[in-house]
Amino acid sequence: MLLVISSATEAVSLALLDLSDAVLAERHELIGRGHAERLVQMIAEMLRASGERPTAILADCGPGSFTGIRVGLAAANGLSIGWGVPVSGVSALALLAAGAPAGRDAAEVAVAMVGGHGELFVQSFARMPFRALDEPRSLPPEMAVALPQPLVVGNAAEQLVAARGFGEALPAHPRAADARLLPPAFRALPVRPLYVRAPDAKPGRVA
Amino acid sequence: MLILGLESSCDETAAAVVAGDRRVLSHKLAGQEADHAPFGGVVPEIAARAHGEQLPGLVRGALAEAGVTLADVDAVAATAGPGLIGGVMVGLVTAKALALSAGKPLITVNHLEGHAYSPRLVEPGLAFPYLLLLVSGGHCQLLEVRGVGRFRRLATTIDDAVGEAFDKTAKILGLGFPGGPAVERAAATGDPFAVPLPRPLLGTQEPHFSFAGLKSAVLRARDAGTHSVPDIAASFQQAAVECLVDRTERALARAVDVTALVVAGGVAANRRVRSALEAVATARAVPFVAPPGWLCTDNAAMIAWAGVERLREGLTDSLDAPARARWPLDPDAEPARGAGVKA
Ligand SMILES: Nc1ncnc2c1ncn2[C@@H]1O[C@H](COP(=O)(O)OP(=O)(O)OP(=O)(O)O)[C@@H](O)[C@H]1O
Ligand SMILES: [Mg+2]
Repeated sequence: MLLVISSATEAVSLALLDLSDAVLAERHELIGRGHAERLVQMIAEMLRASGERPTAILADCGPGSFTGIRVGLAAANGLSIGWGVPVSGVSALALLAAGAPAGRDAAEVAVAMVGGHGELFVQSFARMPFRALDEPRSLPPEMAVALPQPLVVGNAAEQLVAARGFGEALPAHPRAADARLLPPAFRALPVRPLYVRAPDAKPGRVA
Repeated sequence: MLILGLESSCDETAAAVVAGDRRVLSHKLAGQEADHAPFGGVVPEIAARAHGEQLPGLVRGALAEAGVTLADVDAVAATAGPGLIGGVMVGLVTAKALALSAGKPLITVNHLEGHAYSPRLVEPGLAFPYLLLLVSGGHCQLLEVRGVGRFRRLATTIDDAVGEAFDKTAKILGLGFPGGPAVERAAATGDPFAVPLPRPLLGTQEPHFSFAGLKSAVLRARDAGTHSVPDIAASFQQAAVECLVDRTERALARAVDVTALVVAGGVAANRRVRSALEAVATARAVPFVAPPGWLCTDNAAMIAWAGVERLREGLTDSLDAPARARWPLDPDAEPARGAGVKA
C-alpha cells in the first residue's frame, strides 16, 4: 500500500495505490495557501475513509513552492518515522509529464511550472519509453520560450505557450495518483527538496 | 507521562523527550550558526531549509537516546509560533504527522510559553502565579504567569528586544554572531563604567522597555574611537542590566501575589543579568528562579515540558492547527507605544 503525497504547488494531492498500482483512494484539492494546516488533516481523512495503513510513502520533492515542498516532505518524514515504513521521492515535473494525456500523438512533452521571481521551472520528457531529456531548470520566461516541444503541461503551460506563440497548453497541477504511470527509477529519488533555485538570502531580524 | 517535543521557530532545530516527573530523557539540538554567519543575521529561507534537513534525524535520535518509541509517548508537542513561519511549519507539520501515525494527541505550543514554563521544569516548587522577565532574541517582556495558558503582560519593549540589542552590539563591535555570549565574554575584561551610555526609560512611569537608543549610543562610542572594545561591551551590558533591573523592580513592587521572580529566554543565560535580578528578588524577599543556560536559549525540552503542562490541563489540538508568525501570550494587552512592536 503506497501513500503518495504532493503539495509542491497550490494543490494538495494524495493517492493510495495498491501493490499493482491501482488507485484505492484519491484526494485532489486546489487550496492555494494553507498547506501546513490542511495536508495532514487531509491524509487523516483519506486514511480513515479507506481504513488502510500504508506500507510505504512516496513524496513530491518539487520543484514548486519552497514552503509547499517542505510541508510535504515534513509530513512524509513524520509518517515514515511513526509507521516505521520507507519513504522515497518523486519530482513534481515527472508527475506532470506522466499525467499528460497519452492520447496526444506527441512523442515529447515539456513541463512548465510557476517558479519564483517570475521564473518558470521547466524540464522536457520523452513519453515512450518515459525518460527525462534534460535537467530541471529555473528560467526567466524569455529563455523558457526556447523549449521546442509543442505540447506543454503544468501550471505555467498557458503562460509559456502564449509567450512562445505556438503549441498546445495543458494546464495542470501535479496529481499524486499519476505516480502509478512512472517507471520505478522515477519513484526512487532521495527524500530531499528539489528547490532548483537558491534561497533569497535576505537577512531577517538582525539587519 | 512522556512527551516528545519539537522546536524549529528560529535558528535552532531541536527534539527532546521529557517525562512528567521532570526527567529530560533526551535532548537533541542542531544550530545553524555557520549557515547564517555570512549574512550577519538569521536568513528565513536558509533557516527553513536547514530545519527540514535536520529535524527527522533529530527526532529519531531523541527517541533512541530516550530508549523509547513513538508508541511510548503520550503526545507530540511542537512550537506552532511565534517565529519564522517557514521553520515553524516544518516542525508543526512533522509533529502532526508523528501524532497521526502513532495515534497520539498533538499539542501546539507557543514558543514563548515554552520559555515561560521552563523554570518549572527545573524547580518543582515553583507555583503560579509568578513574575516572569522574558528576555530573548525577539522579545523583552514582563509577564504575570497566572497558570497554564494564562498570562498578563505588564510590560514590553517599544523598539528592540534586549537580545537583539546584544546581537547588534556584537555586530557593531565586530564580535560575531550570535552576539549575546560574545558580548558577555568581551565585557568580562572591560570596565562597565568606562563609557557613558544612556539607560532608556529608566525610572519612567510607564512600565515598558526600550533599547534602540542604547544601541545607537554603542555605535557612536565605537565610531568615536576613544574606547576599547571590552570597555564598550562592559558598559553596554551594564546599561542593559540596569534597564532590566529598573523595570523589573517597578513591576515586582506592583505584583502583590506572585510567588517568585523568574527569568527565562536566551538573555537569561547572561551571568550579570542573573546576579542582578537575583539581588532584586532578594531585596524584596521573594524567591528567584533562573533555568540553567542550556534551557534559556532555544531548545526542545522546554517545548516538551510545555506539552506536559498543557496535557495535564487536557489541552490538545486538532491536525488542522495553524502555524502562526505572530502569537502574543496576552492578546488582551494594551498596545505599547511605538509601532511595529513584535508582541
Ligand atoms: N550569555 C548571553 N548574554 C546575553 N545575551 C545572550 C546570551 N546568550 C544568548 N543571548 C541572547 O539570547 C538570544 C537568543 O535567545 P532565544 O534563543 O531565546 O531567542 P529567540 O528564540 O531567537 O527569540 P524568541 O524566543 O523571542 O523568539 C540572542 O539574542 C542571544 O544574543
Ligand atoms: Mg526563543
